[in-house]
Amino acid sequence: MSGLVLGVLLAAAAAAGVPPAKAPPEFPEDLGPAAIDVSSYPAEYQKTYKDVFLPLYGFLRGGPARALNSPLITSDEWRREVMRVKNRPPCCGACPILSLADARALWRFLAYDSQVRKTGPNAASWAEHYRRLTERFNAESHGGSHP
Amino acid sequence: MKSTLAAVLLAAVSFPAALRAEPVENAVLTTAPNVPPAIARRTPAVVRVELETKEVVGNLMESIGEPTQYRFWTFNGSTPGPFLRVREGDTLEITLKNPVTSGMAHNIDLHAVTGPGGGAAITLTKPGETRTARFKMLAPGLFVYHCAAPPVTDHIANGMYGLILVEPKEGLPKVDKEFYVMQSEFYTKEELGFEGLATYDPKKASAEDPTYIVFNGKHGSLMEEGALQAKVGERVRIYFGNAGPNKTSSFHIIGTIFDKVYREGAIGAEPARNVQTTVVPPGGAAIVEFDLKVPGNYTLVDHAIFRLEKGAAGLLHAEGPEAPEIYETVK
Repeated sequence: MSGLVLGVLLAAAAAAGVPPAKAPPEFPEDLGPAAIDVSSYPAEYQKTYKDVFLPLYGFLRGGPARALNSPLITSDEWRREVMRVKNRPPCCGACPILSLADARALWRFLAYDSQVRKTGPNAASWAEHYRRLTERFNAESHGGSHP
Repeated sequence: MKSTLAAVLLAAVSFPAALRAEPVENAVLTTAPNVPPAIARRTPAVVRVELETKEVVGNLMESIGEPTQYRFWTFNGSTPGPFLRVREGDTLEITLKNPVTSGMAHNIDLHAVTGPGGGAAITLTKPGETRTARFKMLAPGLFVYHCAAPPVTDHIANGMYGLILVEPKEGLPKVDKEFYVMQSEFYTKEELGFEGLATYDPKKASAEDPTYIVFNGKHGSLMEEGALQAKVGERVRIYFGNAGPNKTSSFHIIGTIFDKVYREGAIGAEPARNVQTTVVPPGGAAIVEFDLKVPGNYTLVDHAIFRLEKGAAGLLHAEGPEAPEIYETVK
């Protein structure tokens, strides 16, 4: 089940024709898929994914792949990370503004998504997925070795 | 109650003959980012201001979880305290009330006041007391005021400060929008973004290592619904103060050039023109003016840029028609 779910999600993302991140990868997670299939998620999270995560968080955090393949899992970890991003002010006037309400929705979505894809029956396949990203990142010498 | 009544009676009895001919008015007080209206009169008056010291628990930073709270020491319940606006030649009559429930003495040092302690020496008010003092406004300018009761460090670090504008006799040139923005630091034992009641850390304050550097007493106070609002075509004036207690501000608004800067809050000399960033020390102020010519978001910052993440950022939103002759995408 676990590996199958993850595989289906990644395949669905690939089938959706989502382009890979164009910027040079800075982290192993940048090499992973930049989209997931959220059709089985509650409607609230599907909406957050489409309306907030993809257009805003992806822009502010170097592309969606970095968050989708992030080793962060727990609600506390995501709360700190989302607040860290929210606290970056919109210096240039071009960046979208992450409102407190959107940040809160984003936090809930990311915590839920991590629980679904990275824990329980999917924990082992997730760990293997991240190990492969790290291995590839190090092999391609993107900014040096990553632990 | 009795002490207040006694103070009022004493003030009435001791009203100097020179002031009896002057009208008496109560000051219009506003909380940041609002500014009282310009003074229309062209003759001196006695301007009364009532301030009450209060400790209030408020939000220092909002969060997607629980907010960071802080026990602010305030004048009239807000940090920064109310904006005071008087005219050169006026007599400022301040009544300072310190409730009996207060745990400490307070006073007020106004940098606009000439005399010992900037008024602090004759306004020291113990818990349960009320004091009234009068000060002649001898020089125009934008000035900081703060509590200077011992230890002055803690009274400033915990939020007791604000701005007083002494308009020149002829007034300031008319503008369309005026805003009150005051920078300050907070030093907490807990890390930035702590969820719950954060506590003052005097060691970090002494080491000048702030946890927060904010505008108008709160991280994010000028973001989202708190953003300053104006229109293209409007002329904007910002009264900017820096309470410190330690850090000098490099005040800048991304995407604007200050047409005029009354450096260090000084009114009287010719203002500086076409300034990008103005330096405002702790206990100092500046008045900046500019025209909004292009719509969009303008970010107020302390250009010591790593301070942005500690809270030294705000937004000014300008609505209006595009101005491609000034600002446009080519391809």
